[in-house]
Amino acid sequence: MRPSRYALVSATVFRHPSGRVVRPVLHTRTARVFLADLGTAARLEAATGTEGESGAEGERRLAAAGLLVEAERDEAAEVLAAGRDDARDRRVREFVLMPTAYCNMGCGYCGQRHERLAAGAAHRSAVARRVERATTSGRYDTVAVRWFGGEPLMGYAVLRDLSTCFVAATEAAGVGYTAKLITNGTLLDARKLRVLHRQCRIDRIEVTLDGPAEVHDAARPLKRGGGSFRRIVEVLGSALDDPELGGLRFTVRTNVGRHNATLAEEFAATLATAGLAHDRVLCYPAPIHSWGNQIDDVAVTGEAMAAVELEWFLAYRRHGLRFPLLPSGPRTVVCAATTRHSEVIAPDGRVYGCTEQPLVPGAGDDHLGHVSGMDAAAPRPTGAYDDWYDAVNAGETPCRTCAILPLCGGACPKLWREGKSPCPPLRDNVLQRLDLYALDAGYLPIVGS
Amino acid sequence: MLFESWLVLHAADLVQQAASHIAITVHTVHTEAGLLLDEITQRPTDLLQGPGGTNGGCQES
Repeated sequence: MRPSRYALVSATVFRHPSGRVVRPVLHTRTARVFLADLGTAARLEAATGTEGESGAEGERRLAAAGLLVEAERDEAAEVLAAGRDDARDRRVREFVLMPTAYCNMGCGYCGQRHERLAAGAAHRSAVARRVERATTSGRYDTVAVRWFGGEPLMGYAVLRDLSTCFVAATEAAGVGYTAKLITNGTLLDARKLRVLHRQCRIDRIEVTLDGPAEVHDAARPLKRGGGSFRRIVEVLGSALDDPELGGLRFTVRTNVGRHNATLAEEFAATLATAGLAHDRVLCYPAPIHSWGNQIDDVAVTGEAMAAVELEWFLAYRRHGLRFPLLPSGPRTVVCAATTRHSEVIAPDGRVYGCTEQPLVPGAGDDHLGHVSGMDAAAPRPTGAYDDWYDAVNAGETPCRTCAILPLCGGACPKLWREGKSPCPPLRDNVLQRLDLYALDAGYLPIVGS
Repeated sequence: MLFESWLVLHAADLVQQAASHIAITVHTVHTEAGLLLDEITQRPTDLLQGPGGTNGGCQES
């Protein structure tokens, strides 16, 4: 037996309640976290297998946790095979729907081109038919819809109309239904939130806030002029007190660039003051990345982003905001573009595999067909990234040798094939995040170790 | 440096947390002379669990 290539061991030592000294271990294949005695930790970080001191029972326990594996196993191939199988066999049918091509904001780093185009009646009927056929196919347990844009609430009427169809179809077929809205938040209000949650069955809303009010309002200006931060935060805070919205969860995403990288503390304090340090609000920072557009002037480089992300987590932590310190599970299917059971339908009816193709100059022609002309019962046609798992296994990217592959999945096939590395900050700060995880669990480090 | 500055800021909270953790786990003290392997994975909350979709690193994740 040898250590799993996916066993990551922190250098920091902690005091275990038993009195022994331990080190945190993350098994990225399962996202499970352990504390291991120093001898075991040293063995797990050794490159090759050595005879353990823990005896047969100890060996069995380490193997059961996946931390020790047979020497001949190709774990990367296993991870990628699991991704391929999940992409092929998944029982969730996912539709990413763009009810409009317009956005009422003009963010400098956005890679989309917005125009006043809404989904037409024929297109809406074709989408509804496609979802209905998925519900009655017997192939899926759940239909998952993500409302995306442009700003999807600029197409509020379309969203409501289609949601009514989807809810009825899934209820009639006895299939689960879940929906998420990705919005800039400017058009939300109490009445609309109740309709979105109660009638449209949206159970999660993701809103982007780019830092404290002045910075957000400068980075994400409304096209008609003026700011939006205070109003968005106020609406979210009020929604958390609305008993009719008790099942609605929010995610606050912050697009982090040079304009706001150092402002985590002020931002987190503002959110906490507004009541967003709440069990139904999740926060996370996301590095600004290229959609094919030039973002060098505004983006934070990968290595620096790893440190920035930690600062944001620490600020969240200080102010009681909830955030994902470590992924809660492996990411077998990396994105919609790698499974034919997911598709993106643009406002003009074109169907894509990847969410970063529609509305993006230079990528809009990469569509796979038109929703009106497709066999409504079939998964979407094969796209450019459906070979992802085989391509990574063949060495197209360095992911095969990366210790966080099971948690990351390769991040973004499109960026890799454009020659840009999409590696997430997690690659560079996973051990510090592991330390924070142990701290959060109540274990004290032996400082100076 | 980052790690330790955070630690100093929250030393009081951490001591309190550690004390309660010891109280909870004292009955599970490992008796093995060799291996100590204690899983501390936190059960994901509804907030952290997605709907089974393919959300990820994309802009709209």
